[in-house]
Amino acid sequence: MQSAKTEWIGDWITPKNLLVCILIVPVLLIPFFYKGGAALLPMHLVIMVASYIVLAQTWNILSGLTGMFSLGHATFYGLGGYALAVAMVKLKLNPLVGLAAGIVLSAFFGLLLGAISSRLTGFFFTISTIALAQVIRTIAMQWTPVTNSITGLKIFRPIVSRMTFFYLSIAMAVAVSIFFAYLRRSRTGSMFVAIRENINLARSLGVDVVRYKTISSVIAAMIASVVGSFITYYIQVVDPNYLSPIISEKIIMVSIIGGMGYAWGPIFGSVLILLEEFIRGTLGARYAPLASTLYGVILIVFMLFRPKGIVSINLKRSFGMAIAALTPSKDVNASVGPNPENLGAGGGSTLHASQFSKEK
Amino acid sequence: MFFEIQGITKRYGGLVANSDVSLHVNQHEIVGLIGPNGAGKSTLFQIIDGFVRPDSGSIRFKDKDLTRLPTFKINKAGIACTFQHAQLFPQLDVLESVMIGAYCRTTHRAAARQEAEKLVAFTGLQGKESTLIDKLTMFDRKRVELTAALATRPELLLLDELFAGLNSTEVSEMVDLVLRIRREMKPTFLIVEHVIKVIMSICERVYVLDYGKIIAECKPDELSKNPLVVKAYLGEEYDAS
Repeated sequence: MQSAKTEWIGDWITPKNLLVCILIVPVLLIPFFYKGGAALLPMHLVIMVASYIVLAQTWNILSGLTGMFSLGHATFYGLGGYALAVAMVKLKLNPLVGLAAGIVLSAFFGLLLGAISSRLTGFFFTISTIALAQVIRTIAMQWTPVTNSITGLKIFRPIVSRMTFFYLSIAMAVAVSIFFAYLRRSRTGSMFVAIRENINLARSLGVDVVRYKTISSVIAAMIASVVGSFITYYIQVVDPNYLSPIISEKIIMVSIIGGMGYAWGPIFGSVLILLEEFIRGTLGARYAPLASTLYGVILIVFMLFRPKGIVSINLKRSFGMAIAALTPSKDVNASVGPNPENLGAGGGSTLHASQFSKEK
Repeated sequence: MFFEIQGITKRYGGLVANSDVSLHVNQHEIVGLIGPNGAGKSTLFQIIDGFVRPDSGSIRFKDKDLTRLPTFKINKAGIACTFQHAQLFPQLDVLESVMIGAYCRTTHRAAARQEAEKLVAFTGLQGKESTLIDKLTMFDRKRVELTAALATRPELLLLDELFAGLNSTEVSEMVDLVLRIRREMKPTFLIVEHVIKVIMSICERVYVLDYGKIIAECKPDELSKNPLVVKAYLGEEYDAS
């Protein structure tokens, strides 16, 4: 038997992981590639994409791994944002205090969600996440002395180079994605998927379901809150839009289209965030809502043809089919046969396109 | 007393699923629980597992009261079960399914993995470690369920119709497996079963449940001589002679 350590490293060196490592290098060089102000927009895009990767990873922990399908994930994002802004604007405190307060506040609501989930499962739990999100959003809109209602809070901070935000956001995305992959293979991760797959069997095998559900929602809430604080500090404003269902939907979209329950899911799915910014950039802000329409279409197409998301597309197999279609080869099957490909994140339950595709 | 339940009663509205059921199991015994459909066998198992709360009565295991404990604590106390309709983790592979059971007793991934690999080999599932449960046959699924239960190192194993839906070759293989488990891991068994061949070949003592009541307790070969049992299975009019 391999030792635990070599098994880990061996599992992580896969063609896909290496490919992404290579692809990330040009992204890291963006600030140096453009001259002067031209780098600001691409850097902004990367910051947004990276932030959504983190948010989607946290949703992925809660819903993808543990099966607690939340439709109110923006709650934690908004709480982080408001905690930072209130601390800075109203209380004149250090932003780090606001960040910490956001984490604590979100952890509390994560606990609450865990407690709710011990009573409510499935659809009913989902409804309660919407309700919680609505409550928090209403408070943000109505508690004017603290939150400044729909105008929101504008924060003033010392000038920080955009490059700092840029690298910080990438570091967060990488760290949280690696954390997710680690979590998926850990004991805790196994407990999470056991709950998702069969809650009664999990119970009968000694899994403390309430405890692990709570751990899952607290972890997800705390990390999402950090992103909220980060973005608020970056954009310098927080308003009830941070708590809007649209944010929750975007987080879910990124995670589902990428592939629920896999570390690569949010990373692949985050391309969608670019789509909106791309439309805004090329067609103008007036057409930005068009992105939502496209998201809907893309989601339907994926649910129909690739319900497991982008991660379930086997590149080698797809390439093989394309090549087989283009070249009149005698030995077509050789290039089309099932190709086990480690996705790095799926642990034992790695997906192959060959297992899910309808066309055999 | 190793395992003892006393006066368990469970009503669903007007229906009495279990009425004042008492039974005991001695350590290292294999005890059968039989009865016609709807006799309340599975309800009794669900009560022991902690999925269903009894209206009255108590469950004691090694001098510990388990009556109102949640399911996972009952497992930690040393009781594992398999379900009437094989319950599994459909999207996980065989090894991880068993590891989840093993994690009940260890927090280390490597230790859980080693334990799982050992057990998978023991129950004859080697080579299928990375197969998804979805892709397995019924026989393999039942073995995975049993293996995962074994991974929690139970002292008492509750098997609810483990042999149902298997063909006769598979039944004898499963009987061999159960006997091998008993020989090497020395757990105690309480078995709900319809396959009489199994009851006859492995059980040392049998309880018969009918309309929620225990109507008989005897050795397996005495079953056919007990008029109450014959009546419960075949009806009033049947004359055994």
